[in-house]
Amino acid sequence: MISLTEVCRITISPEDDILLLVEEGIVTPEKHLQGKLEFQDQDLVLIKKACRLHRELKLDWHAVALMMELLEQRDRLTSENRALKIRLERFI
Amino acid sequence: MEFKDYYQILGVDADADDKTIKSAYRRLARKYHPDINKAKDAEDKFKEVAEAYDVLKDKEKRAEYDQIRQYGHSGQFEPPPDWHTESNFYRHSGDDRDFSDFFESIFGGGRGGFRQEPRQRKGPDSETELAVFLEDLVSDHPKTVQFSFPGMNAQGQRENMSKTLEVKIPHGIQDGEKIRLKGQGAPGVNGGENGDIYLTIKFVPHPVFDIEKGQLLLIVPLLPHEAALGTKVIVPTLTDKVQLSIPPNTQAGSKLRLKSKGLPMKTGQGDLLAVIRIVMPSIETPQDKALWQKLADSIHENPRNEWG
Repeated sequence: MISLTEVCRITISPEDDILLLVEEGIVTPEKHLQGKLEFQDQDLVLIKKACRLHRELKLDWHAVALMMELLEQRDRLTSENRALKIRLERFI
Repeated sequence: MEFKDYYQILGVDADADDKTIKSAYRRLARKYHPDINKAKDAEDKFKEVAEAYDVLKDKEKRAEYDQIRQYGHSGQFEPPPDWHTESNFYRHSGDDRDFSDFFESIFGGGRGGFRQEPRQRKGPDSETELAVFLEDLVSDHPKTVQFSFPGMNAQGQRENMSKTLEVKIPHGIQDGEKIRLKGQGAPGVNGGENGDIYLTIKFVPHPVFDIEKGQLLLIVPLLPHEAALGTKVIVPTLTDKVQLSIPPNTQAGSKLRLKSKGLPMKTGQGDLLAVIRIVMPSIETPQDKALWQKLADSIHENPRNEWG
């Protein structure tokens, strides 16, 4: 588990940006009773990707969230399609 | 070094206004951004486009570049001996971009240029794909992987570095999941900590097995009589061979479960699903044909009933 401070340090991002990412649902850290957020390694990759898209494509956070959802969907469908094609060949 | 024509890279005229430059950048950035475009050369093209925009969007840098552009329109380029930048080069927070030698020779920068910051800096993180064979998922041995990433030597010069690591593939990992290798990436600058390596797991298609939603699948071809009467067949798993009982009246597409013969999961061992495929034997002799005809005469089912 990684704290919010650690996430800011690792991803070189301001805390406000990370909180906006959480608000947009791009990452869903565990929230403890004291209100502390705890992130996982997978979240770091998502945060870095979101920050790249925000900075390099000049997108606002809402657009970043939408884009990441669509990219994730595209990658999943591409990979499913590839796997199904291989399986279909075994049947034919 | 190679001269870079930033106007040509963005596909705009040398007298293009800021709006045109911004619009060209946004169009090309969307096209080549490595998070969007998976083509091999997309990342290099994006870097080129981003660098061109970095210069042309900034009045001071653009003016300096325009001046320099007169020296080398194409081919090889050396900055004038008394050249020094007027622009205030800095990196944005979280910005670990890799600028070209051409850019740094003009504007300096964070990598050996004369405006290099003396402060500590974490080494850049690297993201790469790791091809994983299904056999790796059931192995107890770590996988030996060689990585290469852009780094800097002790003299602060850029060079490609490589490293060999033993990577333990976690049980239950899925295709597309990421693994973070903390501190295993490029060395930091001025005593800064090493970067991390982020691996994206990519399952290599297997000649025999498939994976569906984390479940190991095996297509089991059967002859019609084996499916009709039931039989026992020896089937491969990822580690050995086991006997599978086929019950009578098994339909094509049926799934039979082989308990704990699949992939290791986060908790316990997954199952192997055997999916039945019916394979027609070739009918070559009149005797074969007569036998099939006899069978046909005794069956009164219509598999196309649903069509009405």
